[in-house]
Amino acid sequence: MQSSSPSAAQANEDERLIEKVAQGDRAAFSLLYDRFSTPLYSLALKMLANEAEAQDLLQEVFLSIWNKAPTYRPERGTAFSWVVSQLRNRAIDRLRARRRHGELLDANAPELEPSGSTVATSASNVEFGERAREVRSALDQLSDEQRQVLRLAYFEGLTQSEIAEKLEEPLGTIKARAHRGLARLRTILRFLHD
Amino acid sequence: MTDRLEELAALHALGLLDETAQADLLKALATDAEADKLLRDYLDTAAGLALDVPQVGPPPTIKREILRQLPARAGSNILPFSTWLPYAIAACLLSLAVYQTWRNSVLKHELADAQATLKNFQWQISDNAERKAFADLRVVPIDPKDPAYLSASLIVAWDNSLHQGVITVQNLPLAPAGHDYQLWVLDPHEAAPVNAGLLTPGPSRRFTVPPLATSAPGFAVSLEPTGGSPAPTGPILFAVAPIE
Repeated sequence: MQSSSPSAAQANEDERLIEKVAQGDRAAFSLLYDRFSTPLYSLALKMLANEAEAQDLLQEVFLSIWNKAPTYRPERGTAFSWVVSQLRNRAIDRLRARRRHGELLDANAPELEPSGSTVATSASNVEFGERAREVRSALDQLSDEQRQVLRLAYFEGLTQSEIAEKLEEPLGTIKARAHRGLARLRTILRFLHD
Repeated sequence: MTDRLEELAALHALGLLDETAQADLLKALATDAEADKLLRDYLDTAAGLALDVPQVGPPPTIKREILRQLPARAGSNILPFSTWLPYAIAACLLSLAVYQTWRNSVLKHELADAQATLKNFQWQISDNAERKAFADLRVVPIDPKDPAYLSASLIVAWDNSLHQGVITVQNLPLAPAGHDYQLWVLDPHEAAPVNAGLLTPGPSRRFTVPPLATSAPGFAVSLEPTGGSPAPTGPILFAVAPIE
């Protein structure tokens, strides 16, 4: 049972799509895009706070999915987890480069509201909407401190030391909050899913 | 499975482990199926955090652009290399032969014309070269960002055609023990500053960097550990932004 992953049937369907993409099936790739582009783009916007950069990253990640589909191994995690980790890792690389560069240029990326984007209403987004409600409901049941550490780690890509410095807490406290927070989130999501 | 391993799995799923701890975890996972399963669960749980944001779809143009850029996959319904390669080579050779015949006749005429105009151009060469050198040259003062360095003066003469510069330094105090001043070139098209080397003692120093995407880069000087760093780590003491 995957705690926050899609239903078993949908997870199997995602895996099947990636298998087809690995064989060069463009129609399957198009379906995969329709299924994952909204959550991936939303995550990119949240992390980068820049519409143009989020769109650029989305293109980069989907081209990477096309190229790396043959290396996907279902036993290592769901298809959703695989594509999300590809986007997040690249977003963190960009954030860290931006921090170094931004420090020199004395300029930070502006907070932009999405303008040309659309709120998608496909069946897959309805399903992601339900899962999103579960995740938010589970997050609400964590302590403020645990939630804060999880979000700083996940969306801002900060290291343990950077989080400890930002929150002015000992490193051990941050590790414990991250560990217990994620463990609790897993337990609650499993409960909600069951 | 130990508590320590469980903690490492959770921290890894959040991207919080350094390389050493990651190596410890991966080594332990190889012999602990339960921990391996837990890591997968944590990775899926962490991926769920991606849904904790307002869901917004990308503009429709993005999908078209991605589909347009998709490269062909080896083994898909593209003709095998061995099938089309001989035809491609034959077509190239035929094209080359036709092109050479035509080119020879054109070259004879061009040679005569060129000889006639060569003398007319010769007198202009030195004048144009001098103008181009000035057109490509940009003089840029680098502003102090730290009040302790207000009396120092750093000026870069930048030649964009050679992607080369000379930095002139006045009244710059000696770097503190264990540190060096390091120069960086800032290109808004580059993700990170380009290392232009250390500011060695002396009134001026020439530096060269790989070709840049910008014609008007910025510059910065940071204080780094002795010997310099591959990317800036210390305080930025002087900086001027690129012109976009």
